[in-house]
Amino acid sequence: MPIDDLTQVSVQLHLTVLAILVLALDLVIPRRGTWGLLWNKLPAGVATAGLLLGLYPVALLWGIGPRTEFSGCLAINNFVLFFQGIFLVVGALVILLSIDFFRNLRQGYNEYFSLIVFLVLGMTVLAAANDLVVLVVAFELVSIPSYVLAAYLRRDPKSNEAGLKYFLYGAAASAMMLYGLTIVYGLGGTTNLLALGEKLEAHVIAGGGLLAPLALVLMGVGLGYKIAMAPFHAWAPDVYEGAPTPVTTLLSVGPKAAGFAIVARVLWQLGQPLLGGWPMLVAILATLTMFTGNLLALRQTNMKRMLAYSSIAHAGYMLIAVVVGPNTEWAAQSLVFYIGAYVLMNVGAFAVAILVERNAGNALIASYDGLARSAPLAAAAMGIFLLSLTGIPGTVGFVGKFLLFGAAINSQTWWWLALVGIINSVISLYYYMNVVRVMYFSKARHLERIRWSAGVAAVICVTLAGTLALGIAPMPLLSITAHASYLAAYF
Amino acid sequence: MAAEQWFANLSFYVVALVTLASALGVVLARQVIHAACLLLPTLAGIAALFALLGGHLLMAIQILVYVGAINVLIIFAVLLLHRQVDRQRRILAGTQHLFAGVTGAGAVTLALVVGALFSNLPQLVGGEQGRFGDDVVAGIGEMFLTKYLLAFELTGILLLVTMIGAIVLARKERDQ
Repeated sequence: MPIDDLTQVSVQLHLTVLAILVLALDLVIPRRGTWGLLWNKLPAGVATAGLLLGLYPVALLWGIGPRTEFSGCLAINNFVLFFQGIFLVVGALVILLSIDFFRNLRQGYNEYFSLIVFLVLGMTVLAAANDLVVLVVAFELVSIPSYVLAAYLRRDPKSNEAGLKYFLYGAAASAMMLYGLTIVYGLGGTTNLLALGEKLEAHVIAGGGLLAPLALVLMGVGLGYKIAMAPFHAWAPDVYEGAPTPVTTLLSVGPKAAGFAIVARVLWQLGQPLLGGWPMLVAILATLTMFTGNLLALRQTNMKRMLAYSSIAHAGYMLIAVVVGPNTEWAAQSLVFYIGAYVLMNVGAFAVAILVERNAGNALIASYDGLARSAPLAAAAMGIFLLSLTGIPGTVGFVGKFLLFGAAINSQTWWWLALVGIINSVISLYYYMNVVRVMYFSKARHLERIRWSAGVAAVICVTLAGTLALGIAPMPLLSITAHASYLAAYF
Repeated sequence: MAAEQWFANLSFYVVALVTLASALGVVLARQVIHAACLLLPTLAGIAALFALLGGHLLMAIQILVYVGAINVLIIFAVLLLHRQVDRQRRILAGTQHLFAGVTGAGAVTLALVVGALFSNLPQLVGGEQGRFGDDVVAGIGEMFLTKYLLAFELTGILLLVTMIGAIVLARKERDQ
């Protein structure tokens, strides 16, 4: 076992040790005496610091060149590393959001943070999986902590319902994906994604058959569920609404981004030999996803449900890049850029939602009545995040959508997807701006004053700064994502 | 040779039929205990399929883990659900014929497994045996520590996470 291999998985090793360390802290820290005040801050602090520290090994691996390690099981390239960096940041932000939210949790405090770190670990492997076996294990390593986290508020029936629904949907989707992968293995005779591409080409030349498209569709069910693509999105609103809000934040960005990394890599690698017309199929599903998300979001009265439908719609926008992907380099860049932008604005919007929910006791949009007067800063931040989600110039969301739709128009074949995306952005303007209307122009005033917490305030500051700064001067993120997409083509 | 080939095909179809029929039974059964019992021939049938393909180690693991441990555990869990014990007993008492059927199917499956084990059927249906030669166990063990090392280690982590999750969700709440 060459030591060289181990440095390639230093991020994963780091996260495994961190997760176990956070778990074990509970055993050594007494809850009474001088440590008593610290015991619930320390695991969160260690987990946040540890996750951000994980960016260092990612940075070390950055730019060396695309390669596969561990007998071809793990792909390491800038595309994958960019996603891994995103997961680490998402994990840290979600932990900061959780400290205040879970302060009344009776037990399972350390386990909560530990599960988040394990989930981040699963995502870093899923994004990099280059072997069907690793893909399946990583898929479950992302799924299982998600189910547990969604059901974490054990006394809340809605949280229990969310966990169970997520689990049942997830189990069925995993099974479907496994059927698909089994067929792919049967056709190609290898589990390696790179080698499969060539083996499947040979299969198609030899005459092919119906099995290959069937395999692609079955895999699409499993992966489509992870990114909440229509028609496999039905779990999202209930799970997002019932899960504890910091967990909802995590689910809406983390597994979705990991899902996109692997969807893009699998489709760009295996799509062509399995089903020549896959871009059209995905384009239709992207259109369906955008319209489903945006039209159903219009009538929501619960903030978490509205953001759930909004996240479905955003999966639709991002699918545009997957469709255009194999033809142009621009598409890969627009995908990674949009993921980065989406993380900033969506985590930000959820952070304000958590703040309001903690003060109002519910997640109804009606609770935002007159927020601009009781908490002008929070209302302004929420307004900017929602503008960014719509894609208004001056925010990072605009640059993201500009790149996505630009890539579609640039490809010429898929110009109509840009049109669909623009129509949908206009629809989304209605429900995003409805929240702004409630916050700024409502006569009623639901909350008298807002009690801030340090973690939530920190997250809002970071995401707000990112949303505005990268919206006005997107060059830093553009150059990073250009590197991430340049190497994506080679896997 | 032709007779052996014919027997190989026949055993595959019989095993497949038993497996599929009992799997359908698991889904369609109205009583949980029936579903749990029908899972037995389903899992045993899959073991028989492994045997027919020459995966003797997989067959043994399938029987030890799924038939021997997990399925028995499921049946215990169903029977031990407190308020249901009497009801389950009544259901079981009235369904000797079902058990006769299940046992019969199991016996056929088992006979096929044993038959497959002691014949050269696996070579006929084109099994995986050739890949590792005679030492399948050593071959699979080596794969775990070389080619699939990463997946193997990750599975360990996955089991740990699952255990943590199950404990967190299932343990009694402590009153402070």
